Amino acid sequence: MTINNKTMADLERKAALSLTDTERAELTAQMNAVLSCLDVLRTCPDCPPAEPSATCTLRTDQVLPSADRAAVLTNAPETDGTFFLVPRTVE
Amino acid sequence: MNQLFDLTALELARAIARGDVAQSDVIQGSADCIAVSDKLNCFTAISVSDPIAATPDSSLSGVPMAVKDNLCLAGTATTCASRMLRDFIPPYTAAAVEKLLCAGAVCMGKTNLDEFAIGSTSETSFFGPVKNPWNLEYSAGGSSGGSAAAVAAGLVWYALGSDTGGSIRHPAACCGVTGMKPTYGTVSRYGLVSYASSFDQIGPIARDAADCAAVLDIIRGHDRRDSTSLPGPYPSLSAQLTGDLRSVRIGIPDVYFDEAVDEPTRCAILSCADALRRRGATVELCRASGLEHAVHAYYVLACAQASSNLARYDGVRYGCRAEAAHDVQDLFVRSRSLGFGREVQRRILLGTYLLSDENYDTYYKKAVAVRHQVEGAFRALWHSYDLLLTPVFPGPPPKLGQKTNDPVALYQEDRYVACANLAGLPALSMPCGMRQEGLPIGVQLLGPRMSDGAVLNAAFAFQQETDFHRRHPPMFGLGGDAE
Repeated sequence: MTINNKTMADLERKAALSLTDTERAELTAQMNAVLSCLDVLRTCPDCPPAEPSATCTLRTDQVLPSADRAAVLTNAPETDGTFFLVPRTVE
Repeated sequence: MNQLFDLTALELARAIARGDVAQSDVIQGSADCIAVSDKLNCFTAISVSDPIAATPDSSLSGVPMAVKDNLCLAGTATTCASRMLRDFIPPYTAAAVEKLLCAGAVCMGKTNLDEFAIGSTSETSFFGPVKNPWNLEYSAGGSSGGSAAAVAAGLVWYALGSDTGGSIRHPAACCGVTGMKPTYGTVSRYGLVSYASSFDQIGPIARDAADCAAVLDIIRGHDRRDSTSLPGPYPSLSAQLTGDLRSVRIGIPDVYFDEAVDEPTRCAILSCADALRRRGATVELCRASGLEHAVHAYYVLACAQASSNLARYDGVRYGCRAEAAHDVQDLFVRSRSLGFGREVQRRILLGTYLLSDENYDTYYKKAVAVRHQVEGAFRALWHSYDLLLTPVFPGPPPKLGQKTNDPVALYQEDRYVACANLAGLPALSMPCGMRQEGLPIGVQLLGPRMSDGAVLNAAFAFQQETDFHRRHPPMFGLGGDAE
């Protein structure tokens, strides 16, 4: 089995998710089924790096208006009117 | 049924422009239908935008449309059908939506989808599944199921969707409408909520290829706000719809025309090939190698990109925030666990696994190599063929609930469509037949990068020969009243 309880606990920590025992058992089984299907990729030969088919164009470095602060803060669960608020990080 | 609903978007726009019909009557007719379409569950929000006076040459001015609810519309909730973004109201509008509104489009609302566009049956939505207008027991396909169902049911004349691994083409085929994923980079992704950024592309779902071309002519173009946006040029696609396929070579790749394809789908595609031949094309079965593992590579790369893109949802700047967190890390974990549904969590965890130190070479690097191999395989095919013809999926659309707990079966069905996303190709799905049980059959056309006009012209030619795109479910133009 590729993913066991210990692996899953590690993945949850890395992905900042927390599953119940029932969810963990179900997702572990499903993810192992998907991974055994993806294992066919192991047999594929490596190939040398190729030029990317989609190219990113860098913008010129130019100051432009940004989003309106008040409008952006409207969607935040908690703010002080200027900044986003989170639980205290330093005691 | 109001006869207006039988018109295509282009025909309706011309009728409005001539004064044959008042724009206000058209909008009211659409709103009336949407108001009684609850059983389809294809809208997450109904909100009619104020019509903007468009430039006189705008081909779709005044026509009601809808927008998939992962595209931002300033001042209107953009939920991605997720509890995570249930209350998110974006302060800006997606580039593609903005262009349509400036061209006189009237947005009737936001359409339902798989949560964060992750899925292919539109069943993972926080708001419940979208139903297929042809048969309410079946899925509308996904992830743009709401957009496809709304067009198929005649609630709007066209809709925007997004396609990461078939999410426009699959629901279009399930619902018997025409949907197009354009060449990657030709439509700005600015304002599209990201799922897998190297695949995501916005495109139209409409009643026929001519309407798709008209929508794309408006929304295509370079946008400095999207770093993958192509500089162009962008010649008119509508002008390329001649219906003439003389000297066009079309291949049917054997790898996508195998024993998995059921008899009704096989027959419909062969009939489609005959119709294309009548328009002058040569169509033949062809050998294609190097495409076998495309869907496996797609799932590795899509999950990896999803796990990265969805890391931004942490309950701090926007989105769902859990109560009673005792520190910042606990806030992240509780908010994400509360806000994301099961399928999204599965993909994030898979992506995290595939990107981890110990698995990166085994899966991610191999998938990148396969992606290059797939691009090479297509380049080889373009030496002999101008376009390819394939199924969209191999059998009937899934029944609701049939495959929700079998991710492997669901993922495997994406193999006919995900290859186009891996290589950034333009690909279109259109109705080409009907199953005995009264459900539409779709066929896919795909071509080289930037051959969007040729793909659309082949679809246009087919639709000149046939009337599958003019067939509608019984509830068409009536909301849900006919069922």
